Amino acid sequence: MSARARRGAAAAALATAAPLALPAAASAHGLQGKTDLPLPTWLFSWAAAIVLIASFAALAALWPKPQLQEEHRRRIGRLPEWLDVPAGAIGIALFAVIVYAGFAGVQDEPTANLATVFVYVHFWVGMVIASVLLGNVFRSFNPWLSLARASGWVYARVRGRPWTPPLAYPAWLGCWPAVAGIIAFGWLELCYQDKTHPNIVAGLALAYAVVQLVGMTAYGAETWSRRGDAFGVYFELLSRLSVWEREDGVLYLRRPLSGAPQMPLMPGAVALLCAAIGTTSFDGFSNGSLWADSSPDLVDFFSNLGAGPQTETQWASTVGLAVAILVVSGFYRLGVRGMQTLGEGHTADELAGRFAHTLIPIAFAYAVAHYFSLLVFQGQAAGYLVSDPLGDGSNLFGTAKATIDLNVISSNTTWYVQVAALVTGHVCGLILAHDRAIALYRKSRDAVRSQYWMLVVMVGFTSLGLWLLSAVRT
Amino acid sequence: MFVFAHAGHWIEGIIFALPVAVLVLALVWDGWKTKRRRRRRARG
Repeated sequence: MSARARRGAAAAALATAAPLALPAAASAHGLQGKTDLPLPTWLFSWAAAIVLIASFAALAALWPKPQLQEEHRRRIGRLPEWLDVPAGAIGIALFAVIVYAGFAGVQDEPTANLATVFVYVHFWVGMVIASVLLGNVFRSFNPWLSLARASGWVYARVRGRPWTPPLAYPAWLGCWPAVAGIIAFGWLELCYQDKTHPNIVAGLALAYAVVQLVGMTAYGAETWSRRGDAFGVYFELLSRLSVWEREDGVLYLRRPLSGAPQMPLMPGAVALLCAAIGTTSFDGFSNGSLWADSSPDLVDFFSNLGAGPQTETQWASTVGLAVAILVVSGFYRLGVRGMQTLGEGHTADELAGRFAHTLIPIAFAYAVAHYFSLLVFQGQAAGYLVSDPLGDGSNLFGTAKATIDLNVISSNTTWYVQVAALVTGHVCGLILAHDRAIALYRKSRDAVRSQYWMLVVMVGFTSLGLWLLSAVRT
Repeated sequence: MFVFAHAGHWIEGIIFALPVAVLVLALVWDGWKTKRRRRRRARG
């Protein structure tokens, strides 16, 4: 069997198991088999709730003083800043290859083109996990930041003075440009009809890079990358869960979870995390039976309004995505309002900001739970794509014949990983919330009482996550 | 009409959300008890 035929067989298997090739195939919820667990899935939800309630009680009894409000870290060694130069060069080269593959590679078979698979799987999902395991590695490999830094270096050498940004970044803008970017990427991934076309993926990647370079030129590379670059901000937030931190060329090992409470309070941070959780939720929801049954009504509605056959589905998904983000935001807001009833003069906005970091482990848990199987299955495509990035039959490194092993993990193993990820993520969220509460409230009793509503939020998010995943299984 | 047409899914969702409902009820009950205690104290 030829390499192309084997890839075709793998792609056919994926396409059979899931409604769309990518990323939905991979939303490998679609790859799950039928439910054959020893227990009904709702029982897992109840068990998860019990674990969270028990954790909450244990925290109230055994965690009387703040432990995470200061970043406890110890120096491991030097990781010089000049390392960012080769890392940035790799990032720029990889970005160039992705864009080239998107325009020059095969268009009719998305899983055979490096651009589509890399952007939706290795970058969007892989970088989430890399950020938590290794720290903020995206910052070193970020192609647009590296380009801006290189341009700034050249400018300083030629002019003899560093580049001065013409505009001051408005404080009120916070990370709202990044929020817009994350929602736009979510819309592209989940709603846009032509999302799997490699040339469109490449074109949008190029457009995104141009926008970032304009932002960095106007407001400064460092400022924009920490506020306006959607991926830069998102991966930086997730890297706060990592025990590794790099600052001024020094590598530190920090206490687990102590990075998240140091998250800067900036406008849009809550929205960004809610958008990330909402986007992942809708990804799960849109692969489930409820959406499959109900979306035709929504599609008909837009059809009656005059939308064409392509756009009506797009509009229906857009509404679904917006509702998912609003539901997640509303649920968090509900927890905050509950906390506010305790008094002590804290406003809802203040509490929403001060507890925003508790959403970071939830965003990570949702991403792992929903995309774990995507990474495990579709991530294997790197094996053949590295040798044949364009899908034109070349074999650069002799691995073009590699295939996707669909038996690498079972459906049940995936489910257990998903449950474990959701429960662990929400327990971490509870720990962060409890630690912040005892630092914020004068009486420890009030601190514990304030977290009753956060417990509801955490249990709610866990139940929602498991319901969405279980709906896909069936 | 829409809700009835997809009742199976909603029932499934309600079963999943039952722990949340129990927690909310416990919170409401706790809040009501606290208010009543405060009123009694205020009356002396």
